[in-house]
Amino acid sequence: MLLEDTQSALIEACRRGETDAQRSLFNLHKDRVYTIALRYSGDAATAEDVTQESFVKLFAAIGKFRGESGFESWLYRLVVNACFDQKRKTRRLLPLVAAVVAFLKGPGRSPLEDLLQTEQSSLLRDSIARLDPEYRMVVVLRYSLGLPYDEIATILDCPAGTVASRLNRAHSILERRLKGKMGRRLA
Amino acid sequence: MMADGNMAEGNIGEGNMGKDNWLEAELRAQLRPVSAPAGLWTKIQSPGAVRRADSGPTRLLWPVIAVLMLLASVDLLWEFSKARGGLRQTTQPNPAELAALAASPEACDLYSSDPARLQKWVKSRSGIEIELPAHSSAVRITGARVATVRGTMVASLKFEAANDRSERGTVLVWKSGKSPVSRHGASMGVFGSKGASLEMVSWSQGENVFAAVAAEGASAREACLLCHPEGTHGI
Repeated sequence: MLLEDTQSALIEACRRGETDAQRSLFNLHKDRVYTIALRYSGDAATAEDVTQESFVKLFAAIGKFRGESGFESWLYRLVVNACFDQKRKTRRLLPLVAAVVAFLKGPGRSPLEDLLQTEQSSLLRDSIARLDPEYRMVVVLRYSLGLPYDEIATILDCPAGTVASRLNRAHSILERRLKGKMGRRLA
Repeated sequence: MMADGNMAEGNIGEGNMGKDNWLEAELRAQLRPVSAPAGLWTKIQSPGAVRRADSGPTRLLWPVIAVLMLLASVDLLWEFSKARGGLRQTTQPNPAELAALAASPEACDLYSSDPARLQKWVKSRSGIEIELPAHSSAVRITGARVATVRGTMVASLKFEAANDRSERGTVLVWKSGKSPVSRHGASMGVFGSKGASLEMVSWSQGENVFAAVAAEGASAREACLLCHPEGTHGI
């Protein structure tokens, strides 16, 4: 409740163009926004661009936020759209190359852990990167942020049933792709 | 806002818990949240970032710029071609078209023998200024109409010679698009149109081009008598 009040006050201040409030709002949400962008694009530079673009759009359009949906849903919708736009711009990049680059650049993992999980990780990342954008985004929102179906549905502007079926389908695709190479572990 | 604890909501593949638990665990591990790199706030505050985010209208501007560039190119080509006289020929009526217009059975839009009235009517309909003598004992104009040939307005004046054969013909007038000429010379030719033989005499005067056309043995040169009752200058 306190957090919501704080956020509401920040949003109001951002509407008035207060830079300090913008910075606070940014600090509050930057990690999640960046996570969506990175996990969707698989590329750190692209993720930075998407994060930057999303926040600039957010501050430009914050006056239009009426609170019909939650602020986070509204913000994530901006990020999702920025991701889809960015992907259209860089469609020529091979997903595999992007996944490899993301893997090499991916933060938060020690070289030893990377070495141990190279095969498994690269296979899964490659499989995620090759998912259709709609499926991939549902997977990212679900597993990166742990969002419930109804919130994902609000963000993607589709029924919750569609979210469930996309996630189910993504699961099947990933399972099928991995089965051949990692059959023993899946069995 | 959702917390990681709500992951339990996921009912995907509940019948295959073994596989899905593994896959979900892997997905959570692979797609785990990360921290945004430092320095992003500075980038967001840079003017370049704002410009890029505001690129919506700029994106819309590109097609407009492209269309303007295309129009400019076409205009340039047009002017270049016009300077070389290339397009002038295509926008000016050719003899066959003039002959067809003269031979057209369509009636006049205005029947009159009053030169002043005809001049005024042609000017109002086509912008073409012609000078017709007040009286001519040799030739009489009977009416006029205005048509468009290749985008060029052409005034068509029907005339009738006051000789014993009452020869009939048509004088066509259009703007040349060239600089006005101070004197006029005539050229003559015979053209075939739909099996009929047509005689055509053409000349320029001022900014206008004239073509007198007569069919079936009639003389187009009779039109010269309209302004030159003394004769046809040996044409």
